[in-house]
Amino acid sequence: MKKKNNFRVPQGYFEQFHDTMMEQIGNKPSKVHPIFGIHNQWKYAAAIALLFIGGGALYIKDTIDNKQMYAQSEEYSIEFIDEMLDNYPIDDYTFYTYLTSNEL
Amino acid sequence: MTKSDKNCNNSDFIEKLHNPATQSAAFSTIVREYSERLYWHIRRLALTHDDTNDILQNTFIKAWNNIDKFRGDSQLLTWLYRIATNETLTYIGHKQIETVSLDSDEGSVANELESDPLFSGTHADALFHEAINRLPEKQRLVFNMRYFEDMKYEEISEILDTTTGALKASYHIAVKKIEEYVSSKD
Repeated sequence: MKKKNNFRVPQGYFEQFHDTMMEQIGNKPSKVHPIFGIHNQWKYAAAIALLFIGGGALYIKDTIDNKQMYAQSEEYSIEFIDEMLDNYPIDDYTFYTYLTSNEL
Repeated sequence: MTKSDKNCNNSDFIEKLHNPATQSAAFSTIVREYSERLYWHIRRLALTHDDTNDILQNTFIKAWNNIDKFRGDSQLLTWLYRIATNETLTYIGHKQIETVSLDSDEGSVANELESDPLFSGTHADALFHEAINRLPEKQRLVFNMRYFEDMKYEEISEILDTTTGALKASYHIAVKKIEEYVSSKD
C-alpha cells in the first residue's frame, strides 16, 4: 500500500477558506455560555410562574380573610355597641379592643 | 508538536482567545494554522470536496461558539480534531439516512471517486479508499490517522478517548480487512 494523497482541492481553496470562515464568524461574537443554560430556561420560567401563582393565591386568600373579618365587625350595629357599653361593666377601651381583635 | 502547535497552545494565546478584544484575531490564526490539516482528516472520511468544505466550516463555527470552553487542558489540535471527527461522523450519518432508500451497488464509492474531477488516483486507489470506507467507524478513523496522518497512538488515543492497546488492535484488523478486500477485487 503506497502512502499518497489522491485527493485534490480547487485552486486557492485554503487561502479563500480562511477569508470565508472569518467573514462568517467575523461580526458574531463568540457565544457566551450563560450560567442558566438553555435547557434549564423552562424550569426557571415554570418556577417563577409557580411563585406568581402561589403569591397570587396567598394574596387573594388574605384579602378574603380580611373582608370576612371586616364583614363580621360590621355585623355589630352602633345600637348593639351602645347597649353593650351601657350594660356590661367593662371600660370603653377594653370593649373596643375586644371588638377589633382578630379573634372575632 | 509543530511550531504552530506551540504558538497556539501557550497560555498567552489561550488568554487572547478568551478576551473579546483579541479573540477574533487569535481565532484567525487557528483557522490559518489548522484548516489544511483538518481538511485532509475530514476529506479522507467524507471523500468529496463539497462535503468536506461544509464539515470544515461547521467544525470552525462550533469551535468559535465554544471557544470559552477551551481551557487548554488538552492541545488545541486535539480539541479541534475531536470536533472535526464528531462533525464528520454526524454529517456522514445524516447523509446515509437521507440516501438509505436509494439502491447502492458494492462498487459505488470507487465509481464515484473515479468520476470525481478532484480525485486523481487510479482504479486501484479508488478501490483502496472504498475498502477503507467499508470499515467500521473506529477502525476507519484509526487507520486514516495512523496511515495517512502518521499520528502516534498516544495522540489518537487522546482524540478518540480509546486505549492505545485497543487502537493498535483496531489498526491491525483494519489493515487485514483492507488487504483482503482489495485482493478480492483483483
